[in-house]
Amino acid sequence: MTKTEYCVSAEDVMALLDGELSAADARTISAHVEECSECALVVEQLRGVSQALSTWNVPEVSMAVDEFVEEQVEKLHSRRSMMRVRFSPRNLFAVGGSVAGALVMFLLAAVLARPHGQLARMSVTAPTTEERQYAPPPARSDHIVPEAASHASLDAVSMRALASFEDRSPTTTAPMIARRCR
Amino acid sequence: MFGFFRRRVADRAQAEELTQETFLALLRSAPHYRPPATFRTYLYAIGFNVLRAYRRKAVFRAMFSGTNDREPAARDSLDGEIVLRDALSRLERVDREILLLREFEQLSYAEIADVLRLPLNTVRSRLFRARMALREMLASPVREKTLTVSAEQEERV
Repeated sequence: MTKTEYCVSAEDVMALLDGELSAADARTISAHVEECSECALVVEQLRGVSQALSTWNVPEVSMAVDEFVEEQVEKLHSRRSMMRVRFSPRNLFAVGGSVAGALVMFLLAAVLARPHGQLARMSVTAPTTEERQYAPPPARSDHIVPEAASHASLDAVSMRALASFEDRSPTTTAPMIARRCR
Repeated sequence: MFGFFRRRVADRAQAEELTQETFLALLRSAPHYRPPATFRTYLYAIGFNVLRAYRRKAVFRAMFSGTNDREPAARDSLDGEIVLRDALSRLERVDREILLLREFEQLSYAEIADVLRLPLNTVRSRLFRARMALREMLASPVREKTLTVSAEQEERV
């Protein structure tokens, strides 16, 4: 069944029957088939094959398969809708807002706590003459843990403030601080 | 999809199982589906992958069990179906798949070329060859011979 056996390609005739030709080609081939007995025979043979195959019917698939597929589709839908709720832009916006709020609060707290820190650092780095008098020797101060050091300096500041109010001499309280630091 | 498997696998229960498997695979791979490919092409491509895996397993099983359960005869098949199955089984594998995709799944030549990854012209020429070969098989006296053989087989079962 080559092209030489027919006036036009037999495959073109088949493509015409399958609706695979362009409108222009379909018109040309169709017009030819009407006049050519050989091509008309090809049409008949091809139709015969299709007809024979069309008798092969397959019964409906059992309900169990339908139900299984529906069940799987339902499961997938519910899983996807859950994912959508969890990662929706609205939720992401809320989470982002909370994180930003927490960050702002943290920064605010850091800024408010800053003066005390500075004061403490100042008292540690630049002790007053009274403190210098009662402060432990430098070799020993190395053994003081940083936390204790900051407590000591804070105590010194608060004691000084108290003394200024109560008109008491800081010399009475300073030895206590020095002892505690050791 | 069940028809796709039922015409390729003689055992009904097996065809149903493969249908389920295909839909599961389809659901799992849905995010990878890209619209330029038609949905039918995508679906049948998955179907072919499932079928290939099934056939590989069947060959493997047959190797170890020593039995050939590649295409078990369907007891509930009609005579016409048996004749068609027999005729189709004598076609070259690719020709048979092209013919089945065209006749039963109504895929266009381009879709068949996509699913089977073949050039369009190859699909066209092989489809013509398969149709003509099938016509000869169905028209020849082999048909009666096959019918007799299948009747004998059924009697033996």
